[in-house]
Amino acid sequence: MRAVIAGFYELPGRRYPDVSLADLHMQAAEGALEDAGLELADVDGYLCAGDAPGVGPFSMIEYMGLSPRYVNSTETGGSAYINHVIHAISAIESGLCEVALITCAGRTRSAPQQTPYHPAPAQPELPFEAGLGLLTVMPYALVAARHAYEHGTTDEMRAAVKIAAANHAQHNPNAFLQKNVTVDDFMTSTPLCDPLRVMDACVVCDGGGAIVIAREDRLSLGARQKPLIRVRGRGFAMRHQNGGDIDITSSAARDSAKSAFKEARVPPDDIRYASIYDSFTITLMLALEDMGFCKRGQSGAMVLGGALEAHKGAVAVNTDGGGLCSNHIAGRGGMPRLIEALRQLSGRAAPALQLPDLELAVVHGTGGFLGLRHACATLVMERYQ
Amino acid sequence: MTEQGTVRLPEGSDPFWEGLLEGQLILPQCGGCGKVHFYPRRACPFCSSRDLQWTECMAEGDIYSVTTYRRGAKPKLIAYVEVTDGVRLLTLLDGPEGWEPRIGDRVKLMRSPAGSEPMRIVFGPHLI
Repeated sequence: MRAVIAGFYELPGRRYPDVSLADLHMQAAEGALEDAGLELADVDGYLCAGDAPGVGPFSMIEYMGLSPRYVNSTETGGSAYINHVIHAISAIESGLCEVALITCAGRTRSAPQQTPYHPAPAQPELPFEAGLGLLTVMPYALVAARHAYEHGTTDEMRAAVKIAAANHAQHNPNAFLQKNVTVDDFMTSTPLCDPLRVMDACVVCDGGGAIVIAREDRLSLGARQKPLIRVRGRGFAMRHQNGGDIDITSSAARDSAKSAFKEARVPPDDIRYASIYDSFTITLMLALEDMGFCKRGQSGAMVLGGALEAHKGAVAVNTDGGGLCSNHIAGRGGMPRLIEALRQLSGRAAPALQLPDLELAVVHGTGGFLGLRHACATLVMERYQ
Repeated sequence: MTEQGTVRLPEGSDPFWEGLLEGQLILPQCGGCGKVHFYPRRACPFCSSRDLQWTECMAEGDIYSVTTYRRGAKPKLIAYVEVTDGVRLLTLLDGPEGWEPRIGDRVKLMRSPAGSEPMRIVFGPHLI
């Protein structure tokens, strides 16, 4: 029996100083279940990643009163939730559960100390990296610097990625940043880590989101009247330093996107909407190349002139404003990226940015740290009613 | 980072750290496939062989990528440096004030001060 994406929900707020992390997960879950016409009592599968409080699923299933017969806490950073969709579908289609819930939530704005990455003393690479005092932005900056060296990528090109996100975010009343951005704003924003500036980086906000995947026969007649979405192609891949033989201007997206497009029997050229992970501008640019939306080294030329904006370029990207302007929950963009692709497929994007008659959409996540070790997940999704 | 804020050096990597104190770059080389790897570990990441020998590499290399972090008390340089056999190491760069290292520049491994915790891998300007 086929598994379908039955419901999704993104919490409207980007600041939740007075809501606990557990309750943000639960509020997101309730919203997605309502969207699917289901209830918490229907859930027999639960998936979460390192942003869920406690160890794996233990605390959250207790808080929400669930008794799942299938759980999965695969942790691949910000790509985890896209990866979870792959696992939830497999679990449902092999009979391990019928209604799977995936949640993501964070309070990185209100409670920055609750960051989900905790280096463990036994991490084998840690002794060789601890002395460097690495911060998240640094490996991405190394990628951007090398990309500029190899391909002549300029600050103006990265600015075009931020400007497209900002132009989209103006149609999203929930976006964390809604102000118009000019090239000049970008170029004069605070330098972070050369060549990256503050405007190259995603937002730091609170928030939550959830997805419900269900066996098709578990949906009510009413729920089945709404557009149903299924996954047509899946891909997952990881890359690391590879013993020192590392190429930082290509990513695991090469493999994850290749698998997803191959399984879907669709070429990148047929895709009119893509949600692409944008922890930094360079993260999105590298993915455009590695996924096949342009040739290697050509993402800079591609993004100039508003090509990522709805109704302008061949492929609209992140019409909610992306992580750069709208939402990057718990330092992890996979869930909001996934939700905007589902909005586009179900005709629920902002009216001015909704792509008409959209049947296919792609979502792509890059978790971990580009330039160090990372995990990419790609889905080709299809509306079939 | 342990509770004490220090990192235990992994078992078996002493020659690498002892080398750093002398400004030497000592890396494991595989007896099976011949490749040198970083970071040092007990099995070759390319062919899984456990037949590894410590080998002294040339303690210099070319900058593969470099960035300056500008939000700290003073600017901090982080780089990938490509050393012998194409091995790319993530390192700190340190040099005289005003030094602006670029991709492709030659750099030299610096002697690590003894007793620093955690140990730091640092390259500096290569003076000919």
